[in-house]
Amino acid sequence: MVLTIRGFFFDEIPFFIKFILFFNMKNSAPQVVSSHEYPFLQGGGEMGALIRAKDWSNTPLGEPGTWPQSLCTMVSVMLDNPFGMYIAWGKEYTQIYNDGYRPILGTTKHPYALGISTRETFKEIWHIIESMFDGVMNGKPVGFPDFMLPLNRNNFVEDCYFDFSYSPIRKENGEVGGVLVTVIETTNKKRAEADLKESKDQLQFAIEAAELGTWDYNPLTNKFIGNNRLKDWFGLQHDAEIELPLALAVMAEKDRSRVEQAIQRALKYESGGLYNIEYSIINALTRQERIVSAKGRAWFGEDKKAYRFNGTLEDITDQAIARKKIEESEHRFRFILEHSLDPILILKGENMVLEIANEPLLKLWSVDKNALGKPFLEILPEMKEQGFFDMLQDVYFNDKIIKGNETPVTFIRPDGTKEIIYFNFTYQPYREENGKITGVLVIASNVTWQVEAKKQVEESEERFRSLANDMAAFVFTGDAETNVDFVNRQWLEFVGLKTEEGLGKAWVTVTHPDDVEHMSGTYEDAVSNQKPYEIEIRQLNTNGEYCWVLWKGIPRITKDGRFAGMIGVGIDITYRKKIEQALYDQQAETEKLQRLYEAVTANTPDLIYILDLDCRFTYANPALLAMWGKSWDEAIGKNLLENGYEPWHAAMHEREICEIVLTKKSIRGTVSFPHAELGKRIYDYIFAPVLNSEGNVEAIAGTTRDITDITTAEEDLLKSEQQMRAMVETAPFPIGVYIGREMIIQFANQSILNAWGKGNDVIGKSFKQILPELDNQDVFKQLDDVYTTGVPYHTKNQKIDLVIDGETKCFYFNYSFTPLTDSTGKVYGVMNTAADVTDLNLAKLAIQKSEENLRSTILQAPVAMCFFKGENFIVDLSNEKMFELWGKTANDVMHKPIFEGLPEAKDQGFEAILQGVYTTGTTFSADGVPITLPRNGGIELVYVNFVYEPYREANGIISGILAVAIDVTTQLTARKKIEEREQKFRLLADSMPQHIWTADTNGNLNYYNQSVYDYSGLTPQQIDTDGWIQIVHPDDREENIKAWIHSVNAGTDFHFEHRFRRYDGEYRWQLSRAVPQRDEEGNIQMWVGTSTDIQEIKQMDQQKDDFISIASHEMKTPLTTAKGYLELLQMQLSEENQTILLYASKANQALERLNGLVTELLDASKIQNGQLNYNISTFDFNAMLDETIENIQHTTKIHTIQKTGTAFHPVTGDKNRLQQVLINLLSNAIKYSPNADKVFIKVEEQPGKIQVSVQDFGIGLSGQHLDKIFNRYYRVQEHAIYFQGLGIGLYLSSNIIQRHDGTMWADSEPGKGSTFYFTIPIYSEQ
Amino acid sequence: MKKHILIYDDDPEILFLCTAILSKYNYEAQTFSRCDNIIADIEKHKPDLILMDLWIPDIGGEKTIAIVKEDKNIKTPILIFSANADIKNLTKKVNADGYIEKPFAINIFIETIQKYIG
Repeated sequence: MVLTIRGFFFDEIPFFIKFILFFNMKNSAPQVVSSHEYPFLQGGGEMGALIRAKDWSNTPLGEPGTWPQSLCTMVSVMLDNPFGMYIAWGKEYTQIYNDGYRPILGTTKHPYALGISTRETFKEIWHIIESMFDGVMNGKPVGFPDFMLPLNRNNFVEDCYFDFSYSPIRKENGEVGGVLVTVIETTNKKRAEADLKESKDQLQFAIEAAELGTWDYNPLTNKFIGNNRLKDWFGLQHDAEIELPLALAVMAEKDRSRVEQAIQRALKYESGGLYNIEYSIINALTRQERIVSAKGRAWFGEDKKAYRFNGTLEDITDQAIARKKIEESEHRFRFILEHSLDPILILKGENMVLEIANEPLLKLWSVDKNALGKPFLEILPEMKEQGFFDMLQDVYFNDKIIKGNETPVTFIRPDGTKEIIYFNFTYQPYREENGKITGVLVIASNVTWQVEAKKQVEESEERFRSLANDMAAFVFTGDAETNVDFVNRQWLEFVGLKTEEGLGKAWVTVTHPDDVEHMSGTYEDAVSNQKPYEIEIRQLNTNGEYCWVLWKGIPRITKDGRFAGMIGVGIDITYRKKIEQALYDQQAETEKLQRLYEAVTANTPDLIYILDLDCRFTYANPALLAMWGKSWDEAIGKNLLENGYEPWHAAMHEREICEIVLTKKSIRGTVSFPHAELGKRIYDYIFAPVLNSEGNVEAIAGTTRDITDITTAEEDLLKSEQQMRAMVETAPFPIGVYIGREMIIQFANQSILNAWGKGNDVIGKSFKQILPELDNQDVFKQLDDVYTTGVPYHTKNQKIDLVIDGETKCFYFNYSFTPLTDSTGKVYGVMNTAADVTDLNLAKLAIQKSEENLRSTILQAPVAMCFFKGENFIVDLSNEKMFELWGKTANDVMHKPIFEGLPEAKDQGFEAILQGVYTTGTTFSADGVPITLPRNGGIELVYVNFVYEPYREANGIISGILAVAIDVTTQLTARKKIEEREQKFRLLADSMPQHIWTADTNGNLNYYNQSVYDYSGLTPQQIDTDGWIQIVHPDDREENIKAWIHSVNAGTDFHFEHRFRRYDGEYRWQLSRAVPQRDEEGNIQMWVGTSTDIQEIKQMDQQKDDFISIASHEMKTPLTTAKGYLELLQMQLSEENQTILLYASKANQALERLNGLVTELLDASKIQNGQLNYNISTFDFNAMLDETIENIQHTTKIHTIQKTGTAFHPVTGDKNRLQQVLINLLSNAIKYSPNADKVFIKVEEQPGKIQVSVQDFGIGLSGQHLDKIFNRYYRVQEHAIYFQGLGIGLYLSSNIIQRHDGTMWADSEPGKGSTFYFTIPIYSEQ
Repeated sequence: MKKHILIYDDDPEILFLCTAILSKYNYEAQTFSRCDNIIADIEKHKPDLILMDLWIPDIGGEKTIAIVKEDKNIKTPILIFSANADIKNLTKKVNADGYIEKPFAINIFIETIQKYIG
C-alpha cells in the first residue's frame, strides 16, 4: 500500500476510481448470475472471504443475487483494489468494504461493520458525516485532505487522519444508490501509534510532574479531549466527553466572554494561533473555584483554517491569589495614599524628585500637582537648613529608616509667613520589587494639634499654679489620700517653707499641737466622705506666732464623678479672732469696748455690725456704712429690709438670728450680693450671739468679709481643669491618663475608649483590669518603667492585640507614655497618647506575606524546587526534596553559589545552561538528563527531568532562577531493564524453531520471531502492512479471525489449527496457541502465541483415518461374500441334512462374529485417535528383501520374481512395515499382470539412499492416475477409489515410505505394465 | 413380469452372490463393476431399483448417484450398497433413497428391496 505518499494520490484517486467505475460499467453487459456463485464477489483477500461467507439475506441488501448491477460492479472493483474503499448502500447506508479499508475499522469495528449501517458503526462521528452522506446521496461528491476523525476503533478514541473522498454510486436509472468512500489513511498507522504513544507517555509524564491539565480542541467537531486532571478540575467523569459549551460553562461568569474572545482570536490565522489567558473555573460538582492559566496554540491547515487547537491548563490559584494580594496591598497603599488625611509622598532618586504625593501633602506644602516631578529642595528650599534633605539622603544611600516624633518643621508660605507644623514622620527606603532602593517613602502625621493640646494642658496646669500663686489667699490641693500635693506661694511665705517642704503632711509641723488632731480628723472625714469642710486652726507663721487660719476645702470631683482629692483656700483670720475674743471678754465694758471696737472696726475692710433681736442694726462700722452708702443715722435702728437687703436675704438672716437665739451658737455663711461700688461681691459672714450676764442672747454680732477674690480663685481653678478636660476629651487621637503605680484610669477620652472598645465605666479601674490581654505584650512593663523612671516612652507601629467584643484583633499603634509629674517632679501618673496606624501596617504586611507565599510554595512543593539568586546562582531557597536530589544537607549548600555547595555538579554542562537562562531569560527544560551526584557516600549517575525558569522582578529584571527537578533514575533504569529483558526475549524467541508472536490487548499482533519471517519469506514490513492473515490459507482465514476475536474478547486461551503458506508457496498445517499474560490484578497485558508445524502429525492422522476406512471396507467385502454364500447354502440345504445345516449355521455365526470384531477393532482404533506406531530398528535390508521375495514366490505358480542388485548397508526403520511395502508391490505386480510370467525387483544403492523398483508387465496405469496416487492422497474418499483399483496396500505403502523420509513413485504405460519405485535413506555409522 | 434390479459393485464375488440371491427371489439382476455409463445403463435396462456401491471406479458411487438424481427423467429408486460405517449419513448426503449395509443377512436384503419395489 502506498499510504505514506499523500497529496498526490489524493488528487488522483477520485479520478482513478471513477475511471475504473466507468470502464467496468461499459464492459459489464447484463449477465445471468448463477444462484450458487457470484462472479462479482470473487477475489479480494480477507474481505472477499468475509463477504462471501456473509449471510446477506438478513441485511437490507438481501441476497447478492438481488443486488443492483451498479453495486455488483462496484463491489467487484473494490475487492481487488489495493486502496481503501468502502460502500455505504441505500438509505440504510449498509456497509461493504475491502481489505484496504479494513485497518481503518481497527479491532472493535471490524468485522462487525460488514452488512450493518454506517450510522451504527460510526455512531461517534455520525453527527459529523451524516450531512456529507446525505449530500452525496443528492449527487454532491465531497473530499477532504487530512481529515481528522476521532475514531473509537481500538477501544480508545484516537485522532485518525485521512484523505477522504465521498462520491455517489449511480444506479442504472441514474439515481444515486449509495456512497462510495475512498480513503487513504495519511499516517503510517503502526509507526504513528508507537511514536504517539511514546511521546504521549513522555508528555504525560511531564504533564503529571508539572500537574498540568491538557486539552485538545477540534474546531471542526467542537469536541474537547482533556486529561483526567482537567476533568477533575471541571468536575467531570473521566470518561465524559467535553464539548466547547461545557468547557465554557465551568468558567466563572466574569471570565467567560473574555475567554471566548481569546479562543476566537487564536483560531484566526492572522493571530498566529497563540493563546495565553488566565481565568477562573468552577468545578461543576464541588463548586471549588480555581484560577487557571491556559496556554496553547491553534494549528492551521493550508486553507488557513484551524484544524486543531491544543494546550495546557495550569492551576495558578495560589500564584494568582498571591498576586492578587500584592495588587490588593498596592491598591490599599494607593487607597491609603489617596484617602489618608496624613501626608504621604514618594521621592525618587538622589535629588529627591517628588513622584507621588497625596492631596493632604500638596495642601500642607501649599503647592499644586505641578510640584510633581520637581526636586524636593526646589519645592521647599527652606528644608535644607532644617536638615531634612540630609536625612532623606541618608535614608536613600544608607538604607536607613528615620523616624521623627513631634518634630517641628518650619514652612515658609508663599506670602512669606513662617508656619511651624509638628510631625510624627517616617522616612523609609522605597524599594522596587527587585529590592533596589529607588527613592524614599515619607509618611508623616501632622501632630501639631496634639503637640499644641499637650502644650495647652501643660499651660493650663501652669496657669493654675501661677493663678494660685498670685492669689491673696492660701491655696492648696491634696490628693485622694490626704497628702497635700500643691501649696501656693502665699502659704509658703506665710509659714516660711520652701516648695518641697510644704507638701504631704508638712502642715502638721506648723499647726498648733492642740489643733492637729482636730484638723486631721476634719480633713480625713472630708476626704473620706468627699464633702466640703471648714476649719479654723492656729498655725505658726514665719515669725513664730500662732495665727488663726480659716480653711475651706471642697472635694475635687472630676467630670466623670471621681474624687480627686481636695482643694482648699485659707485666710488668716487671727485678727478677726482677736476681735471676737475681745467682744466676749469685755462684755461689761461695752461702751469702752464700743469705742475701742469702733476704732478697731472703723479701719478694717471687714463689715462689722450688731443686730438686736428684732433684727435692727444697733451698730454698723464705717466699712458697712460705706458699703451701704448710708450715714450712721440713716442706717442705725433700721432693720435689714430698710437697709436695702433684698427680701430673700433679709429673711435668711432673720431665720439665722432666731436660730442663734435658740442655740446660742454662731452661724457662719457665705452670701453674694451687689456692692454699691464694686458690684456683685461674695461675702463670708459670721453671726455670733451676744450673751448677757444671764447667759441669754441679748444681741447678734456680725462680721462680714468680702471673699470674692478667694472664691474667684477657686472657680478659676475649676475652670482651668474643665477646660483642659474638655480639650483632651474632644481630641481626635486617643488620650488617657493613668494615676499611681496601679495605673488607675483617671481619664480616658472617647477616642481611646473607641480604640479599646470600652465604655465610660473604665474610669477608676486599673489599666491591667480593663485590658488584661496586654499582659505579655510589654505594655504593662513600659507603663511601669515610665512611672518608675519618669522617662517618656515612644513607640511606632507597635502591634497590639486587643480583645474587641470578645474577639482578639490585631492593631498597630504609634503611642507615647508621658510621665505626669507634680510640682515636685514626682511622677504620679502617665499620660498615654496614641495613633492607630493599623491599616497602614496591614498593607505593609500583606506585601511581605505575598513574598512569603512564593517562598512557602517552594518549600512545600511536592517536587524538588529551589531558587538560585543572582548571577552566582546562590542557593537562596530550596525545599527538602531538592536537598535529597543533590544528596546534600541544607548546611552544605544554602546561601552558597550552587557549584560551590555542590561541586560534584560542576563541569557537567549545567553552568552554561544556568548562565544561558539567566542572560537570555529563556526557560530551559530537559528530560532524562544524566548527572553524577553524591549518593550514599559515593558518586552515582542519576537521571533528572528539570526546568530552569528565569525569575523576574516586577520590572522585568531577572534576579534569579527557579529550578524544578524530578529524579527519574528509577523510571529510566526500569525502562532500560525492560528493554534489555525484551532484547533477551527476542534473542531467545528468534533462536527458537517454533513461530512465536505476541499481540497487544486488542489482539493486534505486534511481534513475530525470526522463524515467522524465515518460514513465510516475508519481510517485517510486508507483515506490518498487510497483516499476518496473508500467511493463513484462504480457506482457514474466516474461521481463524472469528476464533481469534473470540479469544481476545473473552480472554480465553486461543487454540487453532490452520495452514500457513511457506516461502515456497506450500501450505503446512500449524497448531497455534496463544495465552493471555495477566498482571497481578488479572488484567490482560498481552498475548503470547506460538505456532507449531504439525504438518507431519496432521498427515499421519490423515493416513491413519484413511487406513481405517479402507481396511474396514476391504475386510468387509470378502466377509459379505462368504456370509452371503453361507446363507444361500443354508437355504439350499434341505431339512434332511441337519448336520450340514448346523455346520453352515456355525460358520455363518463365526462370520457374524468376525464382522463384529472388525467393526469393533476399527471403532476402537478410531477412538484411540493416536498415531500409527513404528518400531524403529536397524536391520539388514537385503536379507529382509530376500525373505520377502521368497514368501511371495510361494503364492504364485505363474510368475517368477527375479531380483537384481543388492543393498549393502543396513537400514534404520520399521522392518515389518517396509516388508509390508514390498509384499504389496510384489502382490500388485503379480495381480495386475495376469498375462505375464515375470516380475523384476531391482535394488541399488545411491548416495545416501537405497532405491528399490518392482516392475511388472501387466495392465499399467495412465499418467493422470499416477499423479493422483502420489501427490494428493489426503482426499480419502476420492482417492481411495483409485487405490481400490490398485489394491489398498499401495496407499499405505507410499505413506510408510514417506514416514521413512523416502519417496515413492511409479512409471507406467497402460497395457505395457508398471514400475513402482521407492527410496529410503541410509544413515552412515558415524 | 420380473422386477429389474441393477447392481453396481467392483467386487465380482459380491455381484455373483447378489445375482444368485435375487434370482432365487424371482428378481432379474444386471451387474456392473464400473459406474461410468449409468445413465445409458438405466436407459437400456429400465430397472425398477439400483444398488450402488460407493468405492467403485471410475467416479465413485457418490457422484454417480448425484448424476442420476440430477436427471429429472429418472425416477428409479437408488440404494447405497456399502460396507462404509457411515452409510446412514452418506445416504442423506447424496440424496439416495435408502441403503443396504454390507455384510447383510439375506432376509434383510430381500425385505429392504421389497420395501421399494414390492
